[in-house]
Amino acid sequence: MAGTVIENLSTRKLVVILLALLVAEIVLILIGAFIAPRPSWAAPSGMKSCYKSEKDWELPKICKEAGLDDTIDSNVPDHPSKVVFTRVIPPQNFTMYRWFQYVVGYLTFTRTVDKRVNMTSYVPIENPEMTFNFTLGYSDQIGARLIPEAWTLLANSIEKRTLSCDYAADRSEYDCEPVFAFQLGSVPHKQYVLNMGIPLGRFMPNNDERIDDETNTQIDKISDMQFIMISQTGGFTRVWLSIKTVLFIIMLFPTVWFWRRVAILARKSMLIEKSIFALALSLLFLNFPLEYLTIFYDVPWMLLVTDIRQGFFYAVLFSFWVIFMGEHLMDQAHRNKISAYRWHLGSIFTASFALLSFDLAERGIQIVNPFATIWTHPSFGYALLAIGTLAGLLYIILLLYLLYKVFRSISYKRKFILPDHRAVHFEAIVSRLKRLMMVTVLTAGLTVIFFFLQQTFEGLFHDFFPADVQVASAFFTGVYGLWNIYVFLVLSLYAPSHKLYEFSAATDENSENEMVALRSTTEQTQILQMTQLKDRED
Amino acid sequence: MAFKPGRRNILVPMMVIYAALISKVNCYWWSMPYNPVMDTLILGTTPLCSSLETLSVNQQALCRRYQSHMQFVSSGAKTGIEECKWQFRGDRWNCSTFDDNTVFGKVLKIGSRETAFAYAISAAGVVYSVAKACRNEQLDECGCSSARRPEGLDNSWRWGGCGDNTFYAYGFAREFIDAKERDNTKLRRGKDKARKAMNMHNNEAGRMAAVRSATPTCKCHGVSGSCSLKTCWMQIPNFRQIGDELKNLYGGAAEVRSNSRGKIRRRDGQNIELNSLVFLESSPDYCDRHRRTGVTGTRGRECEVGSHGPDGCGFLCCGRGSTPHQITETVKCRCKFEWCCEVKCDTCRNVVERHICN
Repeated sequence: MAGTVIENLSTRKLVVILLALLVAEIVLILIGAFIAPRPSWAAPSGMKSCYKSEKDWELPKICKEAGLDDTIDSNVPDHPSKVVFTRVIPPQNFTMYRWFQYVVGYLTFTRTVDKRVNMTSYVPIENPEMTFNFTLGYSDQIGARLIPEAWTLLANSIEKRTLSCDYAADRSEYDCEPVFAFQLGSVPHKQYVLNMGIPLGRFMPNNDERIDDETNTQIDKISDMQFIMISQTGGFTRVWLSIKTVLFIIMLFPTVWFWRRVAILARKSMLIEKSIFALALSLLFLNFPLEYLTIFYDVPWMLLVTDIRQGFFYAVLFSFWVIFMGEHLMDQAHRNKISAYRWHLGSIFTASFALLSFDLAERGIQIVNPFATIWTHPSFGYALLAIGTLAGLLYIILLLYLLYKVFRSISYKRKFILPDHRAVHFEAIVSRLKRLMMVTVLTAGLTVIFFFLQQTFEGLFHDFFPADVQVASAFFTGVYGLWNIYVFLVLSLYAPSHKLYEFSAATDENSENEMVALRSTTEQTQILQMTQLKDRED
Repeated sequence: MAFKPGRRNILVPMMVIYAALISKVNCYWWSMPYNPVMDTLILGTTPLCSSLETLSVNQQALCRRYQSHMQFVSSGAKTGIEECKWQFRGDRWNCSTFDDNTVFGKVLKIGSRETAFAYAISAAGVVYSVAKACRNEQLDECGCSSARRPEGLDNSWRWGGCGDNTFYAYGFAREFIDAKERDNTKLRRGKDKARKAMNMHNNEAGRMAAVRSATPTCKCHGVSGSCSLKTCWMQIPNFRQIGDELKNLYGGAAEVRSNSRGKIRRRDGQNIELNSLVFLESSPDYCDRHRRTGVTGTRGRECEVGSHGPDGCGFLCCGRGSTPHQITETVKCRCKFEWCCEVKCDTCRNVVERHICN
């Protein structure tokens, strides 16, 4: 890589640029904190237990209520197969909007031990398997909450979930984690209805309906069923899409500028320049506000595509780090080709591939069956995550090793290098590397710090902040802005400096050693010229 | 209606006077679940509110205004009373109930610690029950919660927020339960004024215990279930947790006395904490049956021999000793379980030794 902008930029200009970017970052955080609402919201509501009727859909407002506890209620059916839990989403008389982007449904329920069970010989089962018969429908009609015929089937599936409960012996009750019900990747309809049966294996009145002998025989008594829906807030979608649109347009300029700088050079573009350009392209791909589609069309695959775009950006970013380091490793090896990095890129590819498979198995399948989750096959899920984690660890080790090699070669060369023209060139490369590392560590560090702050403060609710400050939104806009600024800095500061055109044009790129010698002289004269220019300005 | 308007005008004040007369004597709203009228409520055939003599005048008015709420007030009171029995199953006072309008019996006339608990737990039961009814959309007046609208919606979009569904229930329970005390405006004696203040305070403590019991629950989602996005909501736990909390408050209840204006102060001069239970009089002796106080005594109660707690035979039987009885119990055993509806069990005969207080 020829001399870059950062080496030829005056400190004053650099400070101005950095301050401007800092202001931009603060503005983004403030937009998240004050203009954007919280990113997601939850609506807990009870699921009404109804007698199963002849109709296709049971609706909470019109169904016949079925009691669940024969020690309290009088209207208890004689068999569980007659009970259907039902809930219209959203609660009350409101409707859903496409701006909500997604709906995730969870179930929480009260799992108790019947009083008639002999407690002395009772063996609690904390993690039984529970089987649900989920049916999801939708309707765009007004007043559909009262008309069973107004609903259309969206999906139907019998799903197994492993419960995760703690047994509280003093209350003879279980405290269970919420159970995943479904996830919809788009919200094109006004209302949805969830009907849910809990089939029973034993005691089935006729054997045809029998599923499995042990189905739901170990879950004790379910005396109360609650449904929690989670969605993105419409306001957050708006702010988020606006930020993405603006950042996409802004980032177009440095990307085009960078590539024109590279294209003007008489030599072929080098690997490091290509990797920077790839980084910029992947960010543009991530910034591209594709989500506008969800406002006009039913695109249930949007969540998956967003995940993939994000994953792609990270993969390119990690590759960029490796290539940047490797290209600054001043050993005698012949580089500037991608095969030199096969191990590093291989580890990134493996990790990305494992996580992509995980995502396809979760989000991908949810496009077809919204009730599916990879955690019904935990070993598969864990295997993919393990592969991803191992490959990620391998990448970190390789990256650290590369870093170690770079610094070793720097300190080695510092000892032996003579204070001649080569030293200037050498120090230029070292400072170039150090500056990128500084920015990288700062960006990654801030991301991690923001993440932990957000996780901590989310749980503490608004105890620390007034209700109108949205910590989670500020985190999302802040971190998103941070990585845009990072790429912006890399693009603008590591572009080839135009002050070297004629020299680069005169250079033939055959021998690396010759190159170094040539370039250093040019850089030296460049520095001399600059100081002269400065003197003149003063 | 067969009445002419003119006659009705006379009748209504008469009814009010009549109701006011009986309400002074025994108006305990929590006897509602034991009133046979409640069963016919859902049918809507009986003019419910006037048949519930145990309601005070204002409660009657509220009953007519919020008739749909009454079944949840009733079930809430029942939940509270059941919980009271469970919490005090091993104490000298075992929250025994009677088949009359007072439910808890004459002991309520004494402004004791136990009375404080009975008021608080019934109030908490109503908040719990109404909050749940709101959540299940069984009431038109409230939804899964009341106030907060999820930020981020366009102003033109209507939306009912969700987060804390005890808000409406608290407000309703406050109006309805305290209406009984507020009706007592003509109190002369300082003792009665103090009792009114005590009841209001304990009602509030019970309601607040139910409101406070809603805890934030969070779920991670985001990129494939990673915790990049965490959403939290308020969840009301089951009633047992509220009962446990109130039992703790019962243990640390503050003794208060009243000044001449009927205001209550703590005996040690400190301020009364809003959440604490307060009582005016020391508890009666629950050991022996007493006609005037309505104490049933612990004779015939079952006790634990080895226990050092209040259910131990030494304490519970008040030193009268206990007799072991060989009892053949028929218990349900080898229960086959269904997740709802019914438990199918065999009956087994066990011979067990029980200790009964003399």
